[in-house]
Amino acid sequence: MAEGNKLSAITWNSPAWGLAKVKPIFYIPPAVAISRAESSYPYVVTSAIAISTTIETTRVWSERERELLTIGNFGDNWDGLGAEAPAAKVVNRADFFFRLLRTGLPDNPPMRVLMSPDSAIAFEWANGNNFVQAEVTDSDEVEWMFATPGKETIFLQQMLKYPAEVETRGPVWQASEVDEPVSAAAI
Amino acid sequence: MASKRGRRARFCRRNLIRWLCYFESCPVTADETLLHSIPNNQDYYKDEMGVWAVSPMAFKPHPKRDIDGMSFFREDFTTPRKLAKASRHPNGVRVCRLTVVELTSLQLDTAVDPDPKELPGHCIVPKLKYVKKLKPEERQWIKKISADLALRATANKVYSPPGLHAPFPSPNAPHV
Repeated sequence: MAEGNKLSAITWNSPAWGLAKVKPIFYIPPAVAISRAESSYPYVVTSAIAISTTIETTRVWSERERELLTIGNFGDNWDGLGAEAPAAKVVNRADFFFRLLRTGLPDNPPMRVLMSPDSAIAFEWANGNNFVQAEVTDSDEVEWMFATPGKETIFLQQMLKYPAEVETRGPVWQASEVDEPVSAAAI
Repeated sequence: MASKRGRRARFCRRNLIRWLCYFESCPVTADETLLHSIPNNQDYYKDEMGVWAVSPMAFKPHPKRDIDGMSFFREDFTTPRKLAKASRHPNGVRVCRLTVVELTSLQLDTAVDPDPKELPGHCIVPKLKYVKKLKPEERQWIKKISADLALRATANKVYSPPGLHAPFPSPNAPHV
């Protein structure tokens, strides 16, 4: 992961959008519920809740990863309305950003990953009235939008260094637009 | 003469008095409701998102379709059910409702745009047209408006046609 990509730059727990109050989904399996009724050891229940929350979070991350993979495989006219296929550059950046999110905000997986008709990939969260969107495009910046009804919408730009694009030395070979064989003599 | 005026409004209680001379070329009035289709794409609508069930992405101008402005249909001329049925989208669509007052409160004007190839009552919001190169503030304005529209669309209830399936896999996506 490239240096300088700190998601803490976005002060996630800022009261401005109240995401600190994100409620984890607590799922108590029936077996644990029984043990809570019969047992006098509350820590059993506490640890069981923690484990089930972790499992749930992991499941959501995996689901989002699968969705992102699906987006990466979209072809032209993916929406049936003539939208172009996502550029490989945008998909790679979204993938990198996704991993960054997973590392930086493991407890807050995006609630949805989707693609816009103009080939941007967005990650979205909602908590009550609060809405957060991070949009990855072909620019170097990820644009965050924080929206709450009745309040001013906040936009933040976060510069990301994409390792595959910055850690190259010397001239970069551009992919030929014409699909023709290259011979040593021609070079 | 009638072809110049376009098609007549639906015959319903709301249009009863003006029905005889209410055509799709008549200007959109403040008491009207407009319909907008939301393609059944991955995550464009998700109940778990609560008041944000409709994604703002559903209101981003489309590079191919919204060249003159974003398309809407007047509910006086067609119904959500007909609109969903007439959609050519391979995965189907949901239909949301927005009042003209809500659009006006966001400084969005509506212009009639009758199209004989479409359902009656087609109109556009010219400010929501697709522009390739946008200044940062213009891009943010579009995003803000999209979010506002998505919020209102969710609040006004979204029509999902019966039997609408999950959008996976995308029509042109190879199997993952």
